[in-house]
Amino acid sequence: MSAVVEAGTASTSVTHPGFLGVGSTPRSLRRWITVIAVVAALVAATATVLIAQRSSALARSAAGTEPLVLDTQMAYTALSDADSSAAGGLLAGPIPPAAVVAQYRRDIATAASSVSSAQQLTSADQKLSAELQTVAVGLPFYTGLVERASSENRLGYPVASAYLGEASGYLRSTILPAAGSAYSHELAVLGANQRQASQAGPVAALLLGAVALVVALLAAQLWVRRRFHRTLNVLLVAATAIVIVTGVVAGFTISAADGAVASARSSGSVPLAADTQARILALQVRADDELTLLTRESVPGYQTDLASTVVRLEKIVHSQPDSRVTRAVQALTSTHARIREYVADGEYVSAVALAVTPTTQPPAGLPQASQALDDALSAAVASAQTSFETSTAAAHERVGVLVGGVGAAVTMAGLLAVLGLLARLREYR
Amino acid sequence: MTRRERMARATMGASVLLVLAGLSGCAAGGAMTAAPAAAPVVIPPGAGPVTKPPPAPGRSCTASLPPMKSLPTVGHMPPGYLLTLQKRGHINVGVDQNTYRWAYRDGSGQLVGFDIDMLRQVAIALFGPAHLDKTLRFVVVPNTDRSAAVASGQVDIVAETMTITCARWKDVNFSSVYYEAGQRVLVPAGSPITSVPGGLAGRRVCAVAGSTSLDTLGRLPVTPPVIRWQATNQTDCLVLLQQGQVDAISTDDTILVGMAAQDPAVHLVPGAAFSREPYGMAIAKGNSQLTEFVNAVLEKVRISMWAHLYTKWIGPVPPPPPTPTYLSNVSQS
Repeated sequence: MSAVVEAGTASTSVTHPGFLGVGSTPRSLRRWITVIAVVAALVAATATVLIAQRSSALARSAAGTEPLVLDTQMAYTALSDADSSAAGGLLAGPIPPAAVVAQYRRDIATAASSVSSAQQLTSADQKLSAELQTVAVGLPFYTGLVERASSENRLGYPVASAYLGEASGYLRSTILPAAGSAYSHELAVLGANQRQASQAGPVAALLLGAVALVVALLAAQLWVRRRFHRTLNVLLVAATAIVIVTGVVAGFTISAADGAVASARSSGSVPLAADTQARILALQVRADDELTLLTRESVPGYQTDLASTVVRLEKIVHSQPDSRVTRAVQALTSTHARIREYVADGEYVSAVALAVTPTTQPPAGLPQASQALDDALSAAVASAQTSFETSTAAAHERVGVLVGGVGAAVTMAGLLAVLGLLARLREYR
Repeated sequence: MTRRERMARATMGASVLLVLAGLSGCAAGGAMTAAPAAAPVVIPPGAGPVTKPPPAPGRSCTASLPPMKSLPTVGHMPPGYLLTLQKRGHINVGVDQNTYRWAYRDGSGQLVGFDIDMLRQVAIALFGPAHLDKTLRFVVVPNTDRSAAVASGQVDIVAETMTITCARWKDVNFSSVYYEAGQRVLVPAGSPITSVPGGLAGRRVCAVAGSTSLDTLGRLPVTPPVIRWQATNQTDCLVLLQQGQVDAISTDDTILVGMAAQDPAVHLVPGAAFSREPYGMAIAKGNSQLTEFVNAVLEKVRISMWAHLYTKWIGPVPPPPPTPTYLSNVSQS
C-alpha cells in the first residue's frame, strides 16, 4: 500500500515505462488493459485450480484413503491375531478356553468385514484389488484348516498340530503378506496425497503470479500518472490492494495448512504405521511361541523366526519412545525367555502352562503379556489416528476457505484495474 | 500385471459375447465380472516332492557292545559316567513328542509311549522307581538332530524310533536292538495300491525328510519310479494323505500303526515289510560304560516286560522280542 502511495507522489524522475508506453496514448492504454486482464485471468485461473487440487488431496486423505488405510490395517492386524488365537486355543488342550475361541471368531469376522469394506472402497486400484482378492479367497481355506485342527485336537490326535501348522504356514506365506502389502500400498497412497497436499511448487507459482500482477498494476499506475498527470487512479490502487491482501491471507493460510499436514504426518500417519507394524510383530512373537510348543519343538523355524521378529519389534519400539510400550515389550520377552527355560529343562507342561494360563505374577503368562503389549500399542495406534484425523481436518478446513475465494478476489482486482484504465480510454472518444 | 490385464480383457470379451448371445442379464457397459479365482494349493510348511537321488543302501550294523554282567544296584554305581550320573541325580534323554503310541503327549500333556517306557526302565535301573519326574529329564529332539544331540552331549541317550545303521554308528554308539520295525505302506480306503512295492509305481508317496524310509522309497525297483514327497513331521504326511495331495505314506510299520489309529479311513497295505528297521538307543560315541549298562537293562526288559509294553502300546499279540547281537560274539557284517 505504502509503495503505491509513494509511487503516486513521486516526481518526474520515474524512468520510461518501456514498450507499453510507446506509440499513441489510446493504443498504449489498450495494450495496458490487455496485459493486466491477461495476467489477472491467468493468476485467477491458476490459483483456483491449484488450491482446488490441494483441497481435494486433503479431502482424499481424510475421506478416501484414510478409511482404506484403516480397513487394510484392521484386516492385517486381525489376521495376525487369528494366527495366535488359533494356536493358543489348541495348545490349551482338547477344549479351548471360551475367551480364546471368542477372540478367534472376532478376528475372523473383523478380517472378513474389513476386506469386504476395503473392496467396496476401491475399484480403480488394480494392485489393491488383487491383494484384497488373495485375502478374500484365502480366508475360507484358512478357517477350514483351523477347524479341522480343532476337531482332530478334540479327538486327541497328534495330527491336529500338523493341520494347524499347515493353516498357519498358509496364512503366513500367502494371506498375511497380501494383507500387509494392501496395507503398505494404501499407506504409500496416503503419503503421496499428503505430499501433494503440501507441495511447495504450486505455492511458489501462486506467489510469483501475485507478484507479477502487483508489478503490472504498479507499472500501469506509474504510466497513467505520467501520461495523464493524475496522482492516483483509485480503481488501480484498489486492485493493487486487493491482490496484496489476498496474497498475504492466502500465504498465511496455506502455510498454516501445511503445518497441519506436517503434523498429520509426524504425529499421525508415521506413528500409526510404526505402531501397527509393532502390533503385528508382537502378535507374531506370541504365535511363534505357541506354535513351537504345539508342534512339540519339531519345527525349529518358529524360534528362528521369533528371534528375528523380536529384533525388529525392539527396533521399532526404540524409534517411537513410549514407556508403556517399552515395559510391555520387556514383559513379553521375559515371558518368552521363561518358556524357553522351561523347555530346556524338560518341563514342557510348565512351559505350556505359562503359554496358555492367565497368571498375574511376573513373568506374566503369555496371554497377559501379549495382551498388555497389544493394548499399549492399540492405544498408541488410536491416538495417532485421532491426531491424523484432527490435523487433516484442520488443514482441509483452512484450505477450503481459499477455494474459489482467491480466484474471485484476483478476478475482481483485474476487473477493477481494467475499469480504471477504460475510464481513461473513454476520454479519447 | 499385463497378464492380469489380458485376463480382464478376455473376461470383458466373454461378457460381451454372453450379452450378444442374450444369455446374460448384465446390461452392456454394466459391472464387469471378475475372473473366478483358482483354488489355492495349501501344503504343510517344508513339504514337497523330492528329486535328489537316494544314497546306496547301508549294511546291517546291529551288533552292540556286550551288556554288563550284572546290573549295579541303585546308589552304588561303578566309577565312570554312571557314577557321574548318580551324583548329578538325573539323566537327560532325547525324545520325540509327536509319534503316536511311541512318544507323544497324552491328554494331560504328559509324554507317554513305547520309547518313553523303555527310557523309564533305564532311569529306574539308575535311580530307582521313585521321583522319576526328577530323575528322567525329557528333551525334545527333532528327528534330523538325533545323532547330533547325543554327540554334542545335549542328551545322554536318544530313544526316538531310531533305526540302527552303519552310517550312524560313525557318529554314535547304539544299544542292542529293542524293536524290529519294517517299512510298509499306508493308503486311504479304496486306494488302487493293493500290493507293495509294485503298486507304488508312479505314485506320490510321503515320508519324513532325512529318514531312511525316504531313501528306501527312492531305491524301490519299480517303473515308473515312486514320486517321493518329503515332509517335516510324520503328521504332515498324514495331513497330505488326508487331503489327497499324496497317494500313500511309507515308513516304519510302527509309525503307520499310530497314524492308522488316528483315521478310520486309512489302512496298511497287506504284505511283508520291504525293509528291516532295527531300533536302538543312541548313546555318545566312546561312552561304552553307559552303552553296556543300557544293554544290560534291555536284557532284563526283554525277559520281564517287553511283551507287556508291546500289548500296552502296539498290538494285542506280541511277537518274540528281537534277539540282540553283540560285538564280542558276532563280528560286524
